[in-house]
Formats: sequence, structure tokens, C-alpha cells
Amino acid sequence: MKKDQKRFKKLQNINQCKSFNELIEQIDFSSGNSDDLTTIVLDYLDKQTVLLYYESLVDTNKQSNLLEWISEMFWKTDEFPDTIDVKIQPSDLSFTEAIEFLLDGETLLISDDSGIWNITSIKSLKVFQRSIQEPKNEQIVRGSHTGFNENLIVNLNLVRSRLKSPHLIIKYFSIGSHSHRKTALIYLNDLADPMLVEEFTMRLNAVDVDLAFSVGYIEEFIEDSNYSPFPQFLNTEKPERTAANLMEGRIAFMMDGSPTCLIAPVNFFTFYQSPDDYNGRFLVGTFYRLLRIASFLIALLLPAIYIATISFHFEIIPEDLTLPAKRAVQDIPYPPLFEALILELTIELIREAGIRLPNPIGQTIGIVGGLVIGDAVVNAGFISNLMVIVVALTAISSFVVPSVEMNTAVRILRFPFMILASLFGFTGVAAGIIILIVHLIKLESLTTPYLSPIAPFHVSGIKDTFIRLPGSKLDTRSADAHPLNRKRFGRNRWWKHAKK
Amino acid sequence: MKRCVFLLGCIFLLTGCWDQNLLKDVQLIYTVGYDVLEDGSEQTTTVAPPVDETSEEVNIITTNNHTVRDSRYHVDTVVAEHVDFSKLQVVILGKDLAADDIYPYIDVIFRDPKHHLNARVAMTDTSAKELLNYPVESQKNKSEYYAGLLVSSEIIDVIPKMTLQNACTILFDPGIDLFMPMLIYREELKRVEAVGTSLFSKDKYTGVYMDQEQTTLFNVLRNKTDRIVRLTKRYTDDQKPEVSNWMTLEFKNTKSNLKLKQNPFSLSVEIKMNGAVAEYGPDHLVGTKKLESIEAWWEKTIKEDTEALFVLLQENKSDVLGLGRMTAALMPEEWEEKEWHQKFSELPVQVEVDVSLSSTGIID
Amino acid sequence: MQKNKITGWQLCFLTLQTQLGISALSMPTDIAAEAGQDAWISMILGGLTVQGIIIIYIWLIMRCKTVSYFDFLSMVYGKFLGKMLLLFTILYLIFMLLMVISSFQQLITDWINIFTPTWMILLLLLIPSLYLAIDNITLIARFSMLISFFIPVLLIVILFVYAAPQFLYLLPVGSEGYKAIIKGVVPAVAALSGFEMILFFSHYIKENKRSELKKGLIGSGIVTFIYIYLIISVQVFFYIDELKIVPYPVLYIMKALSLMIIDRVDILFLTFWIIISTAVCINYLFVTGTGVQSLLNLKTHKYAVVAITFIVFVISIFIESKVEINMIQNQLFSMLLVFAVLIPTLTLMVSFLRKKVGDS
Repeated sequence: MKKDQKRFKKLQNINQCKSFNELIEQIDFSSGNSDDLTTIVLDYLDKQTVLLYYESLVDTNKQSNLLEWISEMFWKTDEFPDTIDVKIQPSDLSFTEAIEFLLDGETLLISDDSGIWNITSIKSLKVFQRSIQEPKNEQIVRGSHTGFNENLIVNLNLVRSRLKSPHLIIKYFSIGSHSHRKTALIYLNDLADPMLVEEFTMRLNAVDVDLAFSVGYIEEFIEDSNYSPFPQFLNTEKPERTAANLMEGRIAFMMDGSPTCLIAPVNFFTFYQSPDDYNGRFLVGTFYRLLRIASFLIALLLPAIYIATISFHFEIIPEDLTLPAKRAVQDIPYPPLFEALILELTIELIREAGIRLPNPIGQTIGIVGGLVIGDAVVNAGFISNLMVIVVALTAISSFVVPSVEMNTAVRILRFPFMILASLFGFTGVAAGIIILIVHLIKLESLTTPYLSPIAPFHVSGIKDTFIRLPGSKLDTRSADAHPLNRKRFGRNRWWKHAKK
Repeated sequence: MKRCVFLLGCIFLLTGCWDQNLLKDVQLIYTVGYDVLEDGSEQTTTVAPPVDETSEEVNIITTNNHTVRDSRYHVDTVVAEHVDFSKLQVVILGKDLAADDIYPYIDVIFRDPKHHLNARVAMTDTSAKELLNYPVESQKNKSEYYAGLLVSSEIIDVIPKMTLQNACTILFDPGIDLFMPMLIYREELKRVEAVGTSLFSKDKYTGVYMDQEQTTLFNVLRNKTDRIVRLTKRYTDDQKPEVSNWMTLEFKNTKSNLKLKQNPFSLSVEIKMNGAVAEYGPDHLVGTKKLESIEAWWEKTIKEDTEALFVLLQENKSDVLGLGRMTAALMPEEWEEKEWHQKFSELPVQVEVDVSLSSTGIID
Repeated sequence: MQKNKITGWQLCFLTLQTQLGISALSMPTDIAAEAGQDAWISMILGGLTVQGIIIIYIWLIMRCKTVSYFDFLSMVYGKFLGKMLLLFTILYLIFMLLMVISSFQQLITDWINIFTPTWMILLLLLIPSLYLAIDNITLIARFSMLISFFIPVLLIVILFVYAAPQFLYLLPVGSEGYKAIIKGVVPAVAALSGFEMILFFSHYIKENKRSELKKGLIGSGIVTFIYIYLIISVQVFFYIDELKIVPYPVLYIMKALSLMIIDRVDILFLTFWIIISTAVCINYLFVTGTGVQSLLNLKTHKYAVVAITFIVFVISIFIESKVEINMIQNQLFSMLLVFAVLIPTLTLMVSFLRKKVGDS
């Protein structure tokens, strides 16, 4: 390298180059002599022209068309055909910028027009993209099955086509010192709190990473609390859900190459809402809301309560159940905590093993794990059948949460509760609950309180958290995102009263 | 800060589980009997349920020691597990103990934070040890038998419900006397029968108990009837076959009203009963005037029975209806704690009974 | 939302939660020991007394304007005397903390964790409290408000008493004589202790002070009603002589309760009550911390709270026997009289005499 530096002076801008050879040398040097940077020099009369592009990025079809056209027509006219997307660049383009263009998949056409460099960029990026499918981890029964894919523009298209409003604002950012990933902040400027938009923008600008490989990775750089087990951004792959959240005054964040959309500010209860709730009858929706909240409590506390009961306060078992319970645990050699840990860890192992295997094998593992191990372990007398019931119920409950991140949070959190219960019985569980409540109260999602509709308490927030009122009653937006306009819509169903 | 958290975590994990009380390590006592022996020492008989599902064998242990607590510790030394009374269902008091001062025995149970206060209390006419050691031919094992027996008898109102908590409140209250179900072993049936309600004066057993019929009436007077009150009496003498002489009434609603009156200090009792004739062989009763005469006959009979019941209570100075409590609350000027039992035994009682038979059951 | 600011309703729940502590479970016994079967009348009188005191507080706070009570002391009495009074007030608050913590620990030891050592239970109570008390008042108010949702559930459980109530135990009304009833007001007011929090919390209210402060009265009123309800429930369940020997009558009621799905409701009830009562520790810790912050002119109350927690922890390890706790509890009323009634009243009067303070 040092030799190279000695040989020529590194230049800043293209117009500092004196000759074609120098220009090509400079570009080559700036790109690090990458072999896939293709340079085609065309000589025709006095019009010397160079064509630069990364062959690994460009669309070969487009490129061959372009080359064909250039070889035939370029010398005759200055006009580009309509089929080619061209942009004239200033002649004092810097080499860094030029490389950036090239890395964006564009082709640079540089011609020497009597000492002045004419620079034209031509869009020629080849994008390989997945078709639009239903996201696997967010399947719903009714409603739109569309999901995001890895292409940001397609994703933005999906969102914008659902919210055809001039107020929908999209701001681009580039993240990653090496990856230069294009990211977008999406919000409605007549709803989203400008303070929150500013905060989000500030946090995004503060991100300093080499490679931004996914949204989930960036999430850790912009979330409020790193050490909390609870997710502070809602992840979704559904444009419908994104649009609905934008209408609440929330802000969405997407990245090229990641099908996930981050939404903030959110509260705890957002994670327990599913788009399905709104597509069914409201009573059903309410029932499942309550069921999910109950599932949170079961998944978190049931093993702890069971351990506390069996090893400290079996007095609370009702009279007729005491003897069956005693018979179940009579000959178990391990203390309840170990029983629970063995079984919980087995379930986690089965889950972890099954998740990455091809589908048929994954199912087999599930069956082997669930049925065979469960049955054998009880027969062998390692673990009581009551514990199997408790752990199985807990496992099922933890998967009820319609959000993957919350599900993992709950699964992790029950272990400290189990340990506390095995040490201090119900007192320990109580202490654990206090710490959990305090933590949730302290937690913030994009500076807004995490437990929003209940702490601080908003009566209007309740109607779409624990329960779900009929759609026409949900006429105010939830307060936690500080929407500029709380009123969602006016009076509906007036005809119901007008008919009388 | 982080180091602090880490240290605290270690402390939490390294500490033992002081209060651990594993369900598998305890011997649950379902039924316990207390007796007092002649030398004044206490005898405890515990009945634990079988742990193995297939066996019917219950674990009966009798020990005697100076106090209830001592005996209990002594039981601990002869069983493999730790004796636990938190799931206690029935406490049976021997006759001798009941005739003694019973509060000191109940006190131990009452103060123990682990103890079950909902356990039922009953007494027997022999010693509790004897009763618990009789062979019982029951589908349920012996440890659960007594609780089942008491509960099912409470439902048909032949005994009152008496739990440890109730007993304790009554023992503290000078305005009411203790009562509890009486259990007697029937050798011919190889079973125990709840024959009625034993009467206490203050906290000493009087040696008398109300039979089942009187207990039903007693429950009506307390307004503590469960489901249906059933009364059967010999209505006629001349019918054939003999069974036709008997009439059974079932009352769905009974209401009694005890009122204290002044000048002179007396008690008026009003009983209202609504019901139906459940069983009477000979006649169709609907629409006939007979129904009225049946009502009148029953009113008279129940009145006589009630008066007889009050005589029994007053003779034994057993104020199980809590008239003293009423007096203290409503007529404090008549209330004198020390003289109350005397006053109670001389209290004039007027009884009025109103029976109305609305229907005659399913079949006319 | 602005930090370090509360609304009137939050003040209401802060007051409510500080008053409603462990004493709710044992208070019927203490009052019945003095007032016999007229304990509930003493409670009503006690509640009214407290309402009266709170009205004096509101008067005082309106003179404080934006200054906290701690700082107002030095404004009224001058720097030296004010700081001395502040120091004593802090000592009083630490005393209250000690009492709350040790009676809390005593209850848990008596009822469920009999063999667990004192220091362990203290840690279980203090660590969660500390975790919140180092944070700002808004979060503490939110906590108080959130756990208030548990209260109705617990009150409903007690409704089971009314399956077979003995209302005769309340009669005849006033049979103990007015002297006994007045004597009963002393433990009643002591059980309601925590109302003095209005004094310390109110300067966090920034808007509509006068009308918002009145919500503090509501908080204290709700506690009085809950206590009256508890006392009456206990009295129709126990005979008065029995009540006098039962240390935690409210728990005893539930101990005798047996539901189909769960036996021994008292243990679960106590678990919830531990959660509710932690608010008392948190609120006192926070207030004491801000007191120390004001005394030493610290930037934040965070380290003060940590230090106080440590002090309280060390001292309460040595408070072991029930006798000692009772001794402390007996001092409660006189302390309350001095620090929650006399000093604020005196401050109010002096501030009137020295007109420039508060008027300016």
C-alpha cells in the first residue's frame, strides 16, 4: 500500500483527475481493487467514456441492454431512452460518493467532455426478493395474511398502500459504518408526538455499528433499558398491524434486509393484543384478551405457586385434594424445585431442538420429548405427575402470548420466581411480584411508561387492553403514545337511534 | 452496584430453606381424639389416612402425656414422618374430657398458626380412644369416615354444625353455652351414629344430649337449617298397616323468632314453618278440610316438643340458644354474667307455632 | 409527562397506601383492648380526628407554596432551629420505618415463615422497597395506585364473614362508656398513622393545589372506611374477649374460611397484603430520603435512601422480641402527636406571626 501511495497522490474529487487512466486508477484504489468492480472503457472518436459498476450488484439483463444501447446509440445522441433511469451528477463528485453510488448498485457513466467530467448514474441494481408470504411467527385466522419481506421499498409500499395519507411521513436513515443499511422511520405527522419522533431520530442517529444485520440487533442500541427481560419495541411482520399502530400515533422503524418492523412506544398490553381480536365478535375478543392476561400470570407464577404450596404451605390445598396430592409426591426423591427445573429445562431443550430442525424431524422430537420422556419420567418416579401437569400447563400458557419476544421474557422470568418460592414460600413469591411490578413501573418504551393504561391509570385505556369493546366504542386512541389527536372518529351507528 | 447484586444473589442461593415443610414428609392427621385419664394426664389418639391408594389401613396412634402439646410431640417420635394437623377434619372429645374444662385443650389448637380452624368438633359417650379404635365397616377409610358422617348428618339437620372456630367463640362468650354433635358406636351396625347434640353448661358437659328430633327443632330455633327440615310423627293409632299411622312433613322454609320481653322478663318464641306432607299413606289430602286439621295437630305437637326442649335446656342450665347473648345486647339491664344460668333456668317461655302446608308433595 | 410531579389522585393513593399497612390486620385487637365492643366507634372518631388534622395540613401547605415542608421549616424558624427540627423529623420518620418494618417482619415470622431468620425476611422486604424508593415520586405514586387495585379483591374475601354474622356482638352501642371510647381513639389514630405523608408529598403537586389537596382527604377517608369495615367484620365474628387475645384477627377470620378451590385463604391473603404493605416502606423510605437530601443539601435522594435502608436494616436485626416491638408501638402515638400534630400546627401559627414567610 505504501508503495501505491508513493506512486500517486490520493485525490478527493473526480474533477481533480487529469486523465482517464488516473481516474480509473483512483476509483480502483478507492474500492480496494475489488475484482468485481468492472471497468469498461469505450473509445470512440474524441468521446472517451468509462462505464463503472459492480458486476455482483447489477442486473445483468438491464446491463446488457444498456451496453447494447450505448454501443449503438450513445454516440449519436445525448438523450437517454425512457426505459433507463438516469441521473446527472455534478462533476465535482467525490470518490467516496462515487463508491457509494456504485455500492448502491448504480452504474456510473463518466465521459470526458473537453476537460470536464460528465458523470451520469444509471440505476441498475438487481434485487433478489422473497415473494410476499404470511409471516410464520404471526399467523392469524382471519384478516390480511400479507407479510413484509426483506425489501424495504416493497415493505414501504405495503404500508403506504394501506395508509394513503399525505400525513404518512417516511424518513430514511443509513445505519452501519460498513453495511450502510437503508432504514426508514415511518409515522403520521398529524398524530405522532413530535417529541417522540425527535427522540427516535436522535437515538437512530446515535447508533454507531459496523454491520446492521437485522432490526432485532439495532433494537438493542435504541431501546430504553438493555437489562430488562421485557421487550420495549413491538416486532411485527404484518403491514396491517403496522398501519393500525401508526394510527395510534406510534412510530414504526424498518430496515432494508429485515422483514421485521419495530414499533414504539408500546406498552405491556400491546404484546397481548392480536389482530385477530378485532376480526371476531367483541365478546370473543374480550374473552381471549382476558385469557392471554391469565396466561401471562399462569406462565409466570404457576410453577412458583406449586412449589411454594407443595414445599411450604400445603395447608391451602383443599381437603379432598390433599391426599391425592400427597400420594403423587410421596416417593419423589428430589425437592420440588429440582423436579420443576428438570422438567422445565427438558421442555426448553425440546423447544430449542425442534425449532431449527426441518419440520418432520422437529415434530418427531416434540412427540418423543413430550410423550415418551414425560411418561417415562413419571413412571420412573423422578418427577410427580402433578409436576408434569403444572409444567405442561405453564409451557402451553407461555406460548399463548401473540408475541415471540414477550413469550421468551415470560419463560425466562419464571425461573427466579421458582427459586424464590423454593426458598421462602409465598413470602418469596410476594417479594418477586413486588420487584416485577416495580420493574415494570420503572420501565419505559421510548420514554413513555410501559404499564401505561394501568400505571399511570387511564380509564379510557382499559377499553382496549384487558377487554375489547366493539369497534364503534373505541373512539379514542390510547394515551400512552401521546397522539396529537386523541379522537379516533366521530359518532358511529347513529342510525341505530335515528330510526326510532 | 453489580458486585452488590451478585453478592446478594449468592446469599439468597446459599441460604437454606428454613421453613420448608414438604408435603411428602408429613403424616397428615385427619381425625384426632382427646381424652383425659384418671391421673389427669392427656391422651391423644390420631388417625392418619392410608398413603397407599390400594390399602385401607389407617394409622391409629395413641399416646398419653401431660398436656396436649406433649402428647403431640410424643406422636412425632413414633411415626416415620412429621405429624401435621393442618388438614385436620374432626376433633373428637372423650366424655371425661368434655365433663372437664375443655378450653385448655382447644386453646392449643386455636393458637397454632398451622392449624385448621374449620375442623369439626364432636364428642362421644365413651373415651375418644375407644371410639376411634372400634372397627368401622365403611367404604371410606376410618380417617375420613367421621368427617363424612358429620357432614351428611348436618345436611338433614339432625346435628348442628360445630367447628373449632365456632366452639372457641362460644367458649369465650358467657352468653351462650357450648353444644356439639354426639357420636355413639352402634355395635350391631359396626358403625358410628350421630345421635344428637350434647349439651354443655358453661364449658362442662351436662351428661345430657338432645336426640335427633330435638336437634332438628333446635336448628329450627337457631334459624340454622340446611336444605329441608323433615319431621315424622305418629299421627293416628288405628290404621293398618302400622306404617300408615306415621306422617312425614318436609319443610322448605322455617323461620323462628326469639323475642325477649320485659316485665316480667320472659321469652316468646314464634316458629313459622312452610312445607308439604311428604308421606302419609291413607288419604288424599288435596282440597279437603283435613289439611287444616293436620296443620292444627302439627302446630300443637311442635309446640309441645318445643316446650319440652326448653324444659330440658333449663333443667340442665344449658343456654345453647344464646339467650344470654341476646339479653346482654338488647336488655343489658337484665344481664348479669354470674347469675345468668340461674336466671335462664327460671325464664318463662311462651311458644307459638304456625304450620302451613301448601302442597302435598309430588303425588296427591 | 413531567417527572417529579403528581396529581391529586396520586396523592390520594399515596396517602391511602401509606396508611393502609400491616396495622390493618392487627388494629382491631389494639383498639378492642381499650374500647371493647365499641371499638368501631373509636375508629370513626379516630378517622374524623385525622380528617381534622389533614385540614390543618392543607392550610399549612397552602402557605408553603412551592417549597417542601422540610425547607419550609427552616424558612419559618430560621436556619439553625429549622435544621434541628428537620433532623428530629427525620429521626421520627426513621422511627416510623423501624416500626413498620419490624411489625411487618414479626407478622411474617408469626404467620408463615416461622424459622426463617429475621435478617432474611428484612432483606426480602427492604430490597424491593429500596429498588423503587431510589426513583422519583411519579413512579412511587404509580406504584401506590397500581397496587390499590388489589384492595377491593381483599375486601370482598372478607365478605364471607357475613355468611353468619353475630350483629348482637355490637350491641348495646356505647356500653363501654365514653371514657373507653375516647381511650380507643388513641390506638385508632395510631393505626391510621401515615396521614402525615400529605405534608411531605403535597409539594409535588404543581397545579390547582387547593382543589387537588382535597383528594388527600378522600384517601384518608377511604382508609377510615376500610378500617371501620374490617373492625365491624371482626367484631361480628369474634366475641370481644376472644378478639382481645387474637393477635391478627383479620387473618384469623380467613383462617377459618374454607372455599371449594382453596383452603386457608389467609395465606394467600397475606401474600397479597405483603405486596400492599410494601408501599408503606417505599413511601417512608422515599420521604426520609428526601428529608436527608434537604438536610444535607444533596443533589439526589438516592444515596440517602440507600444509607437509611442500611441503618434500618441493621437496627431492626436487633429488634427481635415481640416485647420490644410492642414497646416501640406504644411510643407511636406520642411520637405521632409531636411530629404529625404539634409541630405542623406550631409551624402554621409561627408562619402567621412572621407574616412575611409564606405571604411573599
